[in-house]
Amino acid sequence: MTMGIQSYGVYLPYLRIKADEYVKAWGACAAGISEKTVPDFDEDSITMSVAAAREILDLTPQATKNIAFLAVASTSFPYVEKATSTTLIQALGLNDNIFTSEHTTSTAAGLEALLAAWRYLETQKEFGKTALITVADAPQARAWDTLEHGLGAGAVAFLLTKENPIAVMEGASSAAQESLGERYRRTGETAVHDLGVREYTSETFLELCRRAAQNLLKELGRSPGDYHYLIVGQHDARLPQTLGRKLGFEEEKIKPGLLYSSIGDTGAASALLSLAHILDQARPEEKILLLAYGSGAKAIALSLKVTAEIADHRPTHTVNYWLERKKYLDYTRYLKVRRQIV
Amino acid sequence: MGAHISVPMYQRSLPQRYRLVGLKCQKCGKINFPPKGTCKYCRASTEFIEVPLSGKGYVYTYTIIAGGGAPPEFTDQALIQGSYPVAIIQLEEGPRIMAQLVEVEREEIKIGLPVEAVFRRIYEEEGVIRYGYKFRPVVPPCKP
Ligand SMILES: [Zn+2]
Repeated sequence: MTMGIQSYGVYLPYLRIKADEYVKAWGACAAGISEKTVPDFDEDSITMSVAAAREILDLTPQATKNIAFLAVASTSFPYVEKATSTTLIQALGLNDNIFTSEHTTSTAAGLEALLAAWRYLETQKEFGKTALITVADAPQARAWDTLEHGLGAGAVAFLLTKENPIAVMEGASSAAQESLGERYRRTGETAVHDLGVREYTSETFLELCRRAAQNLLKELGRSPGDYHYLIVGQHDARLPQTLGRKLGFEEEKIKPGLLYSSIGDTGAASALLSLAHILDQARPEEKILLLAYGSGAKAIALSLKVTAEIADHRPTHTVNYWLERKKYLDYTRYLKVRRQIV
Repeated sequence: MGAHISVPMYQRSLPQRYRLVGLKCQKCGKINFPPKGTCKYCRASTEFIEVPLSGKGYVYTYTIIAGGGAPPEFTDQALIQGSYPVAIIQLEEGPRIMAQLVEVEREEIKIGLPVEAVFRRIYEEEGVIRYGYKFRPVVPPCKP
């Protein structure tokens, strides 16, 4: 049994806004982006999840009947109460007896969904069963909050298998501890906030990610030198690189996975969108260390190893393809589409 | 479009709205979409099998709905977009259906434009999000 990723699919919304539009409107763009993705007014984390999953299932429709588990993740599901996975079951035509799990409340939710699916598959003896994971996000903040400037949108889906994966999941490690004042959204609110104490929250981010990563390296008997790529969930422009340096990863291992400057902060989808981007370019035997972080706070590290199968399982559309397919909005139009002024 | 559809009615039509499930007539072989009790082609059969349609087709004809002409459940959309395109789509399996077009510039819309179905929010009523299909220009695969 070799647990890992069988295939993956990505979806980025068609709409973009450039940092310049924020400069024109507010005098400056508070986020280190050149542009970012914008969900259209009729898109949300459910529609984007469907789009990413269809990238997998349109290519391999026969895979649908083997899916025994569906895990969904987002910090911005349109319903706070009402199952979200069932919308996907109907939209994708999945078996109606599958187990589901739903993950939310922090940007670590995407990787949590992947781990839940992994643990589920491990317990299954039946041959050929797979698990589908969809992660989509479109976090929102108030228009006058500088936190809003970096918030983007996107979705990614993975099919996990126990036979002949394109990337083996080698191990995972977690670091979690109560932490206040970071990004949060209370029940009943649509906008995320933080208390603007960046220096202090950066420390928590760096510390928890470091612990999760180092525990995993120790467990696997590895060092940063054994890895070809370091992927870190990108909720701002600078911290992933700072973390990489602190962990002892060279710049060239971090850069290939960075998407923040062109799509912004894609919340729970960020780390896994970057994983898809790396899988688009990775070669057999390469190793990937992935870190997802969620406020409140937790960090999860996952180690993956690419296999020779990858050559035969390339997606129909790469992340680079979606990055090129776009239409720009001006700031007024952006406010309307994001329902800030309508 | 434009007529009130109750939640129970919407619920019954979810397979067709979420993933374009049509009914294939066991007598004449034609695909009924939206599904009907009696085949609308041969008018002689009520025996069907369910078939999910591919969602591929082309623009058969289209119109632009001006903001003021939008039905009440699309008031939000009219405010955001001003006006929006609606088309009759000729599906590759035969049926013609009405749907909104997305991700397309006005000057790009023409009869014969190849399109594919996408899953979007259609509108909200009674606090319930009504999801369904719209169509976008075909997104071709990456070159290898
Ligand atoms: Zn008939």
